[in-house]
Amino acid sequence: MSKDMMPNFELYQPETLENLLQLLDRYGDQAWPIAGGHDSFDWFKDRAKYYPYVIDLNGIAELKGIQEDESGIVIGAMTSLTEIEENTIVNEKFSLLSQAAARVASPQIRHAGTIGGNLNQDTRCWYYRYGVDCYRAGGNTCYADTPEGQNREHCLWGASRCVAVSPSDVAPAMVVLDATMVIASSSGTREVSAEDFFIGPEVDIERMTVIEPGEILVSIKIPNTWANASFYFEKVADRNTWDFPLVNISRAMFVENGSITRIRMAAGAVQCTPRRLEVVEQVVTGSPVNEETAELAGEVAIRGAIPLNFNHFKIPLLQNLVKRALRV
Amino acid sequence: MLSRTKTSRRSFIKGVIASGAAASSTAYMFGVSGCSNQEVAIGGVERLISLNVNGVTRNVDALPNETLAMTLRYKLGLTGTKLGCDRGECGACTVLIDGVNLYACSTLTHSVRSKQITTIEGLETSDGLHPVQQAMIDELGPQCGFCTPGQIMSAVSLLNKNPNPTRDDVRRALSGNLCRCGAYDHYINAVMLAAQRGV
Amino acid sequence: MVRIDSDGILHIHTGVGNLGTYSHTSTARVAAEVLGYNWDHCVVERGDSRKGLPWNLGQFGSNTSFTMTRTNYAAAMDAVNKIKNIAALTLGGDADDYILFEETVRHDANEDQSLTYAEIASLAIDLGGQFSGEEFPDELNDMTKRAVRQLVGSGLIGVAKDNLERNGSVAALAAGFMEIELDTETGDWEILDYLGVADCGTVMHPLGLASQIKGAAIMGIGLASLERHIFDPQNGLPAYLGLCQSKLPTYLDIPAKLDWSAVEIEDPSSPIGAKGIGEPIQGCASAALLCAISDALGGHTFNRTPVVKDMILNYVSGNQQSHKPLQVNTA
Repeated sequence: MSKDMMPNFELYQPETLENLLQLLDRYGDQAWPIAGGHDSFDWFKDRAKYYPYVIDLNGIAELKGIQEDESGIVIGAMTSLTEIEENTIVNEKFSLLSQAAARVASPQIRHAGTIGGNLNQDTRCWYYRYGVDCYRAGGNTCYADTPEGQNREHCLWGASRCVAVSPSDVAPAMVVLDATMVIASSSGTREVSAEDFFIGPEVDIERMTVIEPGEILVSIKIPNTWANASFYFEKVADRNTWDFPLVNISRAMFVENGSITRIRMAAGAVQCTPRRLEVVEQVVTGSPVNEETAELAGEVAIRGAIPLNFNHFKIPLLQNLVKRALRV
Repeated sequence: MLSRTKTSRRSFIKGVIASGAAASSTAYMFGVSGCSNQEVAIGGVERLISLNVNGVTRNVDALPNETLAMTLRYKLGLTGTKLGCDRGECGACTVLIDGVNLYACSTLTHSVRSKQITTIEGLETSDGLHPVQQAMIDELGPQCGFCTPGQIMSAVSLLNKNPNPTRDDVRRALSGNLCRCGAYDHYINAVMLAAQRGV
Repeated sequence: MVRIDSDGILHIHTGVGNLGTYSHTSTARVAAEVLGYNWDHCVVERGDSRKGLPWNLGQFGSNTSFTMTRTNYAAAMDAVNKIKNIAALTLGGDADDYILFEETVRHDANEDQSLTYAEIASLAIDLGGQFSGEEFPDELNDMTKRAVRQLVGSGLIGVAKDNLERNGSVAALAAGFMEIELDTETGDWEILDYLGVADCGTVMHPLGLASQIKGAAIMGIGLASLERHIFDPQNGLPAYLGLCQSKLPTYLDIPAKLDWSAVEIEDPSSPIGAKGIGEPIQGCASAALLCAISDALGGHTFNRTPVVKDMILNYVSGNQQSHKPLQVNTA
């Protein structure tokens, strides 16, 4: 009948969070929840991953929507990226997030893709995606970190047997905005700060986030800490749409009398998690917004970068993006 | 509650579809009644479904792993929606679901049971071609024409939301559709012409 | 091969396929022009060999416009010849005394002595022989002969082999002009303006030519800056699988201004002066982009394409390139 279809699976479409958690409990690590599906279907179609139970989250209304309260905003994990891009509250107070969401992939993917899916997305290392048995796939080798590995997109920091990067545009923005992830399971909910939510290979080489089987991200809380700050987002990719970042930068800062009083910066696609540029933040706090500060920040940002064979271009790129983030 | 002695397959299916409830196909196949409290499968899907495509209700047997593009093309005979990459990377399969342009190759058919699906075949009315389609002809939009259905669906979605776009708006709205022939410029001309003529 | 049926409709049978250049129809217009036909009374028969299609060039090789205008011209001239002969046979006089006017053939000394093309076609069917396709030149290709046999007796058949003079190769030429703005901090560039100028002889289909020049420019931009075939040298795995890795230009990568023009110098090798266009319009855009990038960076910089952001950033920051000299198909 048709070709190239995904292997058959049992599909569940729960309508409440409670039902979802029951399903996750019942099927454990044999269950795969899908939201927009754009990351998942590639795996299934390439037959590189297979799960017999797929849980469609699109019917769970309580996971969608953006609410504002006195402490900040709460974004349901199933909120689409387009909704975040167009939401008035997000654009008024946290435009960094809408700017980042607007640069993800293509319009159609943003309409279907969710914030939860984007934050939980798997790395794009092409060897891993090809389906080889590397460490991240449960094997015992890395193909990218080899003398001739084609690793132009891979990391500058945090290599620990795996050198893949976090490809999300929204994740660094979440780190900058000091977001908190609310994770539910049948034993209750727990909250994890955005910085701790993403994990690198030294913690668990087979996962990108702290989510365990049986758990699901339900919402993201963004406090008013950085509301109405001065935001900067820039993404450099091969093409102007549809591409994952080579490097991206997110910045929130408050300036008083020309000097930086508070600042948060994070870079994406240079490490397996969003890289919070803490040293840059410390160095520039209290400094005036001018070219010297920007230059210093750029130099500091790239300290300790360990390039691989094909990705040392990311070093001047990151340096320049940090400089640009501090010139405005 | 269903008991095994009283249920025939036909009445079981009718009951499931009519009530909108769902029962796991494995639960049905292995004779477990859909509502026993130990084996209840909350939210499992039944294969016989109704889709609303171009304003018409179509009944189709859809596997859980079937994507909308496959169902439209191979089960409903609507081959206007093209499969370019089947990976959500090219946009040839773009359709409108509740007016929003999405990749049919990356949408499970079961996810859109209750939604209004519009494909390229659904744009023409008894009055003739849709303004975007006519403008495509007048501006010689397509070259080989393979990406054209997807481009038109994205354009229709844009013009329904923003009837007076700038060229830049058009570029951004259609940026999820690739064209290997490079007919982008003429597509933009066509969409601007359609906007001018009014949809 | 052309055919006039007894309703007076001109059918231009062409073996040219369709990739989207529409040259199957633009090259068919020659026949209509030679026979003085209103284009609304013409049908292009293509795409299905059951329609009786002659041995023709397909739609490739940047030569269709050149080759097929000559071919269709030859077939149409054969039809003209036959029309005049039929008129002379039927109405008297010499074939050379007849002229074509608005889908009729008339004696140039007496305009009442005329026949419509429809009538000519019916006469052709009655007369048979070479007029209706019962006889045809032996030098025709076998496929063309089969096509004629398929249509024999259905009207006036004009069929000929292209024996027009041929003097050397007839190449299409193109020039591209590009202005970019290069951001040395990110390696990103934006094309502000592009003009593609084609030397394709006489322009038969302006909108079609515009489409080709612009489309080829976009392909050229992709070739020069985005598309690469990367393999891992250790294990041969391809790194460019999928359209998100094998990167084609998108809407947001195309020039802000995309203009085209043609020099319109008639080429003597074609009866209407047309040449093909095809590939050159792609190459000139690639070259223009590479030259623009080099110019922005202060001189000839790269000897390898695609010139990607990696290479620009490495060059600007004074670092070595990632690839070894003469190494290709790597990142």
